[in-house]
Amino acid sequence: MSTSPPPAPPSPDGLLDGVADVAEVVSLEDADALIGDVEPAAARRLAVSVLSMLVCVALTYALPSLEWARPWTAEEDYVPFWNLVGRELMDQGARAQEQEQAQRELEALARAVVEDPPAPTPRVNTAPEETLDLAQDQYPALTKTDGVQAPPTVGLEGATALEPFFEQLSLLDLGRRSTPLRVSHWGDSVLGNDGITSAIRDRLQARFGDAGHGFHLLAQNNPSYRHKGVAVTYKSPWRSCYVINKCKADQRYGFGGLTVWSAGGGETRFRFGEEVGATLAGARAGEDRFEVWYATGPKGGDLRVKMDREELGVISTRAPQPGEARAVFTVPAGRHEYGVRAIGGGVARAFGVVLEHERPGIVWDGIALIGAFTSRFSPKYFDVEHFHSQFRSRGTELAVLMFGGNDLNGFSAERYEATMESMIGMVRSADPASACLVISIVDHGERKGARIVSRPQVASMVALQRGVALKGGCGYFNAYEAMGGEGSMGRWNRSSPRLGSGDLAHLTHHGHQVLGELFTKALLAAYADFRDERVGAALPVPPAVREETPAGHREDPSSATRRDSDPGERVPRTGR
Amino acid sequence: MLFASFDFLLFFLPVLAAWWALRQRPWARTAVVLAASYFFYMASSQPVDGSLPTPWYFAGLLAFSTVLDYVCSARIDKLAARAEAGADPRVAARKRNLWLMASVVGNLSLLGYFKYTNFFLEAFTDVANGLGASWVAPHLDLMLPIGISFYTFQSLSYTIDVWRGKLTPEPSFLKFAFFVVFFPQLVAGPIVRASEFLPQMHVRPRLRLDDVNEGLFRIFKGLFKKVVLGDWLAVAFTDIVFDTPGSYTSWENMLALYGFTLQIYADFSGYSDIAIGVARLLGFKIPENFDRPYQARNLGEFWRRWHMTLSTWLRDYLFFPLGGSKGSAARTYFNLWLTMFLVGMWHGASWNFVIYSNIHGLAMLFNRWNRLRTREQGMWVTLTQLTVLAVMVGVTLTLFGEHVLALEHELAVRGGALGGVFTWICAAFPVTGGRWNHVGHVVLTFHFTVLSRVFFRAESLESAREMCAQVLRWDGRGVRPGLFKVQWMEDWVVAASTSDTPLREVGVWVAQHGMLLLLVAGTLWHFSPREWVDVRLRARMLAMPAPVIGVAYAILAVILMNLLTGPRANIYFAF
Repeated sequence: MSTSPPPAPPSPDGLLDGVADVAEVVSLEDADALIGDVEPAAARRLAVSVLSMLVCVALTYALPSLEWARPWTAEEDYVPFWNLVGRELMDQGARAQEQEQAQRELEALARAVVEDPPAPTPRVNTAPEETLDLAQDQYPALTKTDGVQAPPTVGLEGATALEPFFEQLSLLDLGRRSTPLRVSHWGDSVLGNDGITSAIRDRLQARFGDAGHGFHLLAQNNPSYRHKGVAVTYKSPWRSCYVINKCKADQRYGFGGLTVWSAGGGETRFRFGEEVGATLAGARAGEDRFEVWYATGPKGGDLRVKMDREELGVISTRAPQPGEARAVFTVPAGRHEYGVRAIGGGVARAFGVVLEHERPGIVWDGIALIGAFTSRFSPKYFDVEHFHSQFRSRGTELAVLMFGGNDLNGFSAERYEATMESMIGMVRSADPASACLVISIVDHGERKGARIVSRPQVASMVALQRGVALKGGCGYFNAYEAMGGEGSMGRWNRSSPRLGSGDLAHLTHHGHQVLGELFTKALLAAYADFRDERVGAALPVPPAVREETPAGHREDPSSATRRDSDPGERVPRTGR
Repeated sequence: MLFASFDFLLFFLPVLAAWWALRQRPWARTAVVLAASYFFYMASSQPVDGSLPTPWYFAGLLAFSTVLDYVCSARIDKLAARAEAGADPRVAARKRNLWLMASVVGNLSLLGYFKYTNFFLEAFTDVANGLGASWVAPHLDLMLPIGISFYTFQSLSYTIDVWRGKLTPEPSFLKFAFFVVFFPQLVAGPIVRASEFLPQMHVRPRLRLDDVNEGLFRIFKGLFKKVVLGDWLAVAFTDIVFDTPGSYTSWENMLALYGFTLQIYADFSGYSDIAIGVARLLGFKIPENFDRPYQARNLGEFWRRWHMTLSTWLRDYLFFPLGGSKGSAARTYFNLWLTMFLVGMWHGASWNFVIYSNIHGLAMLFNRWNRLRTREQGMWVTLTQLTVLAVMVGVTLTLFGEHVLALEHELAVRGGALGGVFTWICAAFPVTGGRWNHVGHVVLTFHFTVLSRVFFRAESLESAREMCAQVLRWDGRGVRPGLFKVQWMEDWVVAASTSDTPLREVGVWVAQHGMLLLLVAGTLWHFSPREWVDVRLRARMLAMPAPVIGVAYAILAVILMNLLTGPRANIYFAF
């Protein structure tokens, strides 16, 4: 048996490879003459360098044309050595303390929100206690005060516009509604990564019950188009057209502003749902709902839909006339992988999918049209009839709009007002029975000297959005004021945890949570007010009855070209 | 106060002039700079970078630390003298230890309270909740005193050296206080040891031409690195991606990691350059803090080149006293891990830093094992050994990704597989060899540091998770147009050229890829031979006449002012 030589010690090039130095006493007692000494050449070189630099600085003050290069001007609200001069000698201390206090409060809120995230839970749909001794079909007093104990910093305005939605929310809250209550929230990149929308969704689902995720595109319109709670795999690329590119002559971009098509091979998979036996405990173990939204036409191809690699069905998108339809699949509740694949037979074109639970609760669609100007979500870009049809198919009770960030560049109040009116008009006319809410832009900052201030157009746009929203019959939430108004993006950016992104136009993950919390508080406070006002009044008809009525308000006048699937008629169900 | 600010210019020039004007009055010049250092510490702003004003009690903490160490050291020295004079040596030793403990506990308590309390509460709550409790961690409203992580270690080195008998105590309190608060290194290092600095207070200060040249060059170089490669890259690129990594593609996230790797080096080493240069103009030599760390061949060498004054401090005052590498293999590995863990945790108090510290600690263990392992075994034995190791690392990383980072299973497996392959390559790579072997080691070490920066930079564990997921997802989407664009440069090029000349096209292209070019150029600069910068570039600058140097500084200042609309604090201020 051969023996290998002992390993050589590591070369002493690493930090911890050497050995301790031998002690060497450094004596500090021999103070000799400590008179300094300056070499004339050294002093000259240093002095001339410094003087020539100071001359350059002085020139910027002497020559008006060099004003831009001045290192400091008296107009700035900052003075050199501010902490000792500005704060102590110039009476700026009180203001600084106020700012400190505001910053601390913001950070405390952020920490509270981040450390205690809400957990969406399925609703156990038994009648809540307050309904037990309730006179039949009347609003009881609201005793559930979750989330509404403290008044919101900024409340909803024009909340009466949300009454149709609050009526349905009351039914859900009172256990009188057996179907999901759907809200669709459109916006630009501010909704990227499903940040704000998932923050709101989580909070409302924790309060009113989790009825699923909602609408999802079949392809990303941008890397930031990602949704929480749904794992998506784009297996093979579809060809796609995104509304902001104005690339489809028929302007039919679907509910989410992006349409995809493939003659074969395009495939997207979604993993969604709850592990059976975990979160479903105590709730009505029911079914989940998977919908595929697609276009029909004379050259339409086939879409194969799978669940957990087992075929749910094949959808033929061929029809004599162009139109749109959706196929609804109800499956046993649980965590499943759904797949939608174009399998040839023509060109299959689709708009998205819906992932829901068949049970009462909230569904909050997050539809981020990343990079979109407000005008992109208006009749100028959309086929209005098509959009209305999609809207009604979705059964949305509340439409939420949050655009404007991209319109700040070259902002013109007159032009923007018209654009916004047009957008609200398109949404309001889709289904007059559903409610509408506008959320203002978040603050957008810019660096000015030493500080981060709000861009000058922000306040004007926020005021304009408020006016148009209220005039158009929508409720309004001022996200800019909720953040803290002027300069708030700077404060959010400096906060720890950081809430505002470095681009001073978007929020971070934690910022999404905080804004979601602020918005949810405002919404719940408005809901509490609504319930207070309605005590003793008659409850509306539960939607299950309305939905079953063929002539209900959701009927689409253009249904001749639409083939909304009836699960009982044409959609194969799984046998499991 | 920030070095790259107008405030500092207004502060430093009078202090420099006073220091040398009072060269014949040692007490006065020391007192002036001592007072100036407190002014420097407290004047740090509202603001310019938006941070909150420095409260007055920060100065009190600094003074407390100074007095505590001075008194403790004096007592330790007296007790040693008493023991030599015949007192009971055991009693004297016990009392000396008590005074040492008073200093160590006093200093580290302050550091621990301000820096780690909230994290300990959070960690305790997280662990308790993990075990089934349902607690909410209280959060104390603490502001980390600026520079406390630096001056604590600095003044502790004095007490420990006196206790060890390596240093006689400083007879003058004024000089000791000067050492603790000397403004160039006060808030962000380098961490200067008493034994390096105090002797310089006992010799005649001299301003020689060499000091002036070195000082001017180091400040110029430091400003450029700090502001252009550090701050500008951060503001225009890396901060934006790190704030919302989920909004960016895999490539963009990777480039942000490379960007941050360059940025943090430029930021901190630039700051250290300025500190060294400023001290040099005052006639003091303070130690180097960086030695082109990304050129390191392995992680041990990296930490010898990165923030050298911290890592060597922990080596000398922790690793060696623990026994260093003299004990058993297990003890040595434990000492290694603990030292590296504390190096990591010094940087911050969060789960991210716990992960970062452990990644580096465990990698240091691997590094030592790999260099010491027997290589004369047969090929198949070696292959089996390395494969088993790689699989173990891969499985561990997969479990870590899935259960700690909460990555999707597929991504966690992908991360584990990549980690396993990376480990295998590192272990199989020959330890020695020619030029390409050297390049291979440098590339592997560099990428290890780049990837581990995720946990160093990310604001939170969620943010780190998001970035890991984005990189592992590898979406193949490339980089979006305009991400690297320098708008003002493009505007300037377009305005300055009247027609579509090739030069204009080149200018526009450069403007559109400005930040990427900066990232590449900065990285290449780092990997360039040391001689190019420290010898040739230095010689060229110093060959310039003094007025030209002054104008060059003025031009640099204007560029810096216009690149950023306000100075930005050093990253290590937060530590």
